[in-house]
Amino acid sequence: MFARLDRYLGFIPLNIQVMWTYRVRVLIFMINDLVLLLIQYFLWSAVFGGNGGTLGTISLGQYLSYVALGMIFGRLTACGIDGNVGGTIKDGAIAMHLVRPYSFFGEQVAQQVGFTVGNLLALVPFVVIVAFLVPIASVSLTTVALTVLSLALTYVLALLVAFLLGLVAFWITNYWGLFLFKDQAIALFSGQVIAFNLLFQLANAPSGNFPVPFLPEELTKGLLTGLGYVAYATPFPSLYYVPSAIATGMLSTPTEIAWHLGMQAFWVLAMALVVWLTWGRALKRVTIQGG
Amino acid sequence: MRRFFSIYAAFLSQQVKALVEYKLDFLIGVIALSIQQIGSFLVLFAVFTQIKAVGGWSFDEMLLFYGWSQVVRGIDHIYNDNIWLVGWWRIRDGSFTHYLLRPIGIIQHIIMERVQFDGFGELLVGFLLFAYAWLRLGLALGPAELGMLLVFLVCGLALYFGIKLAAAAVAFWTVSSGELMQVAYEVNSFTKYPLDIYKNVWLKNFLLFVLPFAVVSYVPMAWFLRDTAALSAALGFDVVSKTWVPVGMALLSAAFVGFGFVLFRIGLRRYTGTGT
Repeated sequence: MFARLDRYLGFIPLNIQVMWTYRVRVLIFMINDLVLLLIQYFLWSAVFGGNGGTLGTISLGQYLSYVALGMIFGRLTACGIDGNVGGTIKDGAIAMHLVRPYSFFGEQVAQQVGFTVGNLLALVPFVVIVAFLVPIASVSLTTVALTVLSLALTYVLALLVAFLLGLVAFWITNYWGLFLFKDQAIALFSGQVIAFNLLFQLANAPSGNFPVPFLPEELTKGLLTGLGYVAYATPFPSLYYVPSAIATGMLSTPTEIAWHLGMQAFWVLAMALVVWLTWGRALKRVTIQGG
Repeated sequence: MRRFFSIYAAFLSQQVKALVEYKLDFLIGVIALSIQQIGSFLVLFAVFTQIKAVGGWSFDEMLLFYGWSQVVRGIDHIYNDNIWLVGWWRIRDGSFTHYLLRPIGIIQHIIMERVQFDGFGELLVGFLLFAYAWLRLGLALGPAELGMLLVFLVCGLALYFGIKLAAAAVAFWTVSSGELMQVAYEVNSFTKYPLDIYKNVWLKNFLLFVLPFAVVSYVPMAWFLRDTAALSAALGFDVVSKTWVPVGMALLSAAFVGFGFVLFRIGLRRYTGTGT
């Protein structure tokens, strides 16, 4: 697929240029992220503050780092190609792409790399603000290396998932609703609304307080644990939770880390297989109407 | 007014037809937005198994703020969603012109042209959380309270309306203002939680006076839950008496709606279309 890499290289600067053209939009996304970060910052400060600065084994600083890193990593692995792929299929332009002398998937990957490099520049001011807001703990070189490895797996997985979602447009009329659905499902099951480590600790800690008094304690804990398990059965934690959790030391023992990296690798392979099969089936559905 | 509603009904029946045709899309939208609510609820739920109060508010009180903020947001989402298209596209591509050629008011037309049924997901979950919290807190529910809730609802909706209209109107100068609308609108996320947790004077005042989304949910619900002294302390200025709070809110909302209308009117004079 990448036998002639230089065929694709042209897309990278092209996409950086696109990002630069829409710099106001990039800025707006940054402000949106900042709003969300501020809310999380104050919410978790109040929550941890109400409990003397720690919840279970997690400290406030650690959790804030998790939130901030999650946001930065989220931007780094953000994937815009689902809309691209979906749109190309919808308006029939896919036909023109199929006759070009390079693979459609390769083109999308190259576009995505350009998009990421463009995003990288936009992230700089954001990182500076985060550095002021959140106490950054010193981490070992091993942790950095493991985080980078995990982040790379997340990146590939995000790309595959986005490509797959784009392909679904072959079968579904309104993929906009599906994208909305994806975003919300990811927020709930990826560790974005609450880190799994914290969720499991909250579920297992002896509870002194029942937010909903008529629910028995077992059920309450079962619900929270169950949500964690359901989430772990999906690819979503691999898309968000793992790299930030490794970086902030929420996943610290070698076994834990190995398990999570293995899980990420599994999802990358599984998703690659699904994309490959879906692409084959989708191609059969292409009917070219003369244009 | 009667004419407005009869035309609205005609538009609505067309949209319901589309809704019936694309049932699955509707369902996906509603479920997606409900998941969002459930996620936020779950965080609160999990956290409150360990701690008793956040920023001085109990679980049920937090739910009340959250639920009401989603009720207002949901209703706004349902009836006032088309204005996004004006900000993002209509002025840029010139399709705004068709509003000028119809025998109904422009803003009326924009509103009735689209009903966003997805918003029902937010409204439903928000209302359930709100109703549950209201009952759990043992708040009274007589004609006086219902009347106040209605006043607060109208104020909240008016604020959303004014802010969105003003932000969309900027497109008359800049061709497209979707991004600006997005930023202004996104600030409403702050209202999911009580203002007290934002321990920053600038941020607090911003949410009370500049883009006063705190007025949508925090101020009304705190009005039901706290006395004058506690309210004054939380807001950072002396509210003198509880009766002044809704009056101030109404004035503020009216000012925002007025500002939105004026900006829209001035901008409209600049509109030239694209010739297509």
